[in-house]
Amino acid sequence: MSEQQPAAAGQVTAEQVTVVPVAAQQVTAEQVTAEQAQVFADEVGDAVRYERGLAVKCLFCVLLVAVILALRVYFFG
Amino acid sequence: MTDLLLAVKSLLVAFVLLGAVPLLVANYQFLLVGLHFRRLHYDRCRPFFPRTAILIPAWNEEAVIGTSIDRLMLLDYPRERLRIYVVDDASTDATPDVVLAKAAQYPGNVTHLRRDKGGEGKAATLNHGLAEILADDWMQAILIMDSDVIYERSSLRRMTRHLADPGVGSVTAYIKEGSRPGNYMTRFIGYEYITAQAAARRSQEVLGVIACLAGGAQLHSRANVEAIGGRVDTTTLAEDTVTTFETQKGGRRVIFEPHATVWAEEPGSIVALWKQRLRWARGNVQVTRRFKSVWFRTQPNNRLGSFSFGLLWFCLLLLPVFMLAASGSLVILFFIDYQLAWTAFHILWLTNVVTYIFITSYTLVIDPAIGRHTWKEALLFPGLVNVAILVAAVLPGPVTWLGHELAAAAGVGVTPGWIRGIELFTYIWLSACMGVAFLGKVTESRRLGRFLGPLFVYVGGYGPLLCAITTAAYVKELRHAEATWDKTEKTGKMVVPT
Repeated sequence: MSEQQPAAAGQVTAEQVTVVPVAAQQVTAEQVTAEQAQVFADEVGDAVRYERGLAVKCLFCVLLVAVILALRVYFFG
Repeated sequence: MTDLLLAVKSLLVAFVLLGAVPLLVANYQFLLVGLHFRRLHYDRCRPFFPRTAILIPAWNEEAVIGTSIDRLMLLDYPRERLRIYVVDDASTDATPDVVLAKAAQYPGNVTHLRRDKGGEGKAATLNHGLAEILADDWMQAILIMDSDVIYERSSLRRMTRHLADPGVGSVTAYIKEGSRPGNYMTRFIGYEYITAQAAARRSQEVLGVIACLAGGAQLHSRANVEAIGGRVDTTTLAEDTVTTFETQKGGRRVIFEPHATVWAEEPGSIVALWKQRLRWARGNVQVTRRFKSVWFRTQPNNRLGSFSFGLLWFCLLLLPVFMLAASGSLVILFFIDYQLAWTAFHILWLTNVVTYIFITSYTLVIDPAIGRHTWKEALLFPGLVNVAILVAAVLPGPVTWLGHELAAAAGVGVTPGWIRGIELFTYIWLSACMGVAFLGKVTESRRLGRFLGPLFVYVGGYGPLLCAITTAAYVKELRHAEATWDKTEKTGKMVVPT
């Protein structure tokens, strides 16, 4: 998940678009309410992990800047 | 006389250092992205599927409208809770036929609304549809989108779940550039959209205020649409930004859902980009004026007046002014105090190095998939010459050695005069890069334009090109030039990655 947006899980693939009949894609309001609770929980979990991952990536990038500056000062003053 | 000279020098140094302010603010903005996980709205969400009207303004969209409707019908959303309203703005192509065919294919889901008198702009077209949709009480939420954008199946439901919180007025999604194979321009835009949307909107959420709902992905609750008057602004070129501000002024929250992805086809040429961005930049100038009572003034029910948000807004809006002031001041300082100019430039450029490394590296990992596709444009975003100056700032020894070697190979002796000439060129380049990028627009439609246009953008920089467009917007606004709605041409050559 750290390398891929969680949105990928819901992306429309070429196969879905061309192979799955339109009627089969339909979902009723009742089905949605029952089925989507778990999907919702999973997606939110993925999203929260992704957002936390961005904090870690931010720290790595700050570290990268610090290392480059330190090397610059060390070698070239 | 000495005091006067000292005062002038101090003022010039201040102008140079002022050029570092937008860079520092950009770093601040990106650091805020790392705190976004603390401001997520999911604890107030739940699976929520309001009856949603999808409003699509369309003028001569035969190439894209049919596919857009088909893809909307594939959304992972209860179909009986979706209605698509295409407002055909007096199209002269086959748009009405395509929409009517789709209305027959999806009975009850697609409605064709025709404006007999068109050409009044997107806002007027939207208002035609809004009046129709608000006329009955079926609609609980409305999604305003562009005719060419493609929603991923999960995107709408990922947006509507935020409307379960009655305090939320609007939700926007993450727009990604989807032209494939695309070209250098669409790759620049693809990278820019990570910074301007995925990053900037996250940081704005941390600050508690969103600057603009993406025009192609604006979801509003019915209550919000009614509260802002049931129509969008027609007096500016940035109706989406006005809607965003009005929503928040009314105390309703605007949410950016970064995991709802919408793909859009963006301009593939400098001229098309110029037309689109000039409209946006002029719209931003108009919005700045319209909401002049908001800036830097604490509001009881929103954060539009916060210092941080004002800083972000004005640093972006005034970036060309900062660049011109820093460059001009360095050139004057060069002639009256060479050493002081060099010192001031070093401080400015050190800030630039930090900003470039931090923002480029972070942007590429915020959205790694787009980052892999656009990494070359990411590295060359400031322009080839500016990148060379940045490299020289980080590696002064090797670059100086290389310069001497190249000069020796060319049989040229490196004299102090040469070195000073290069330094003066560097100071001038800080603003001249905008002009060079602008040359790309001038030459694009001429002989050898297919070669020269990209060359000027790569050398001058995509960022400086955007600054040149903002400068043009200032001029247009100062001259009170006519504000026309120039539509961005779409071809339908967009592929949603699998």
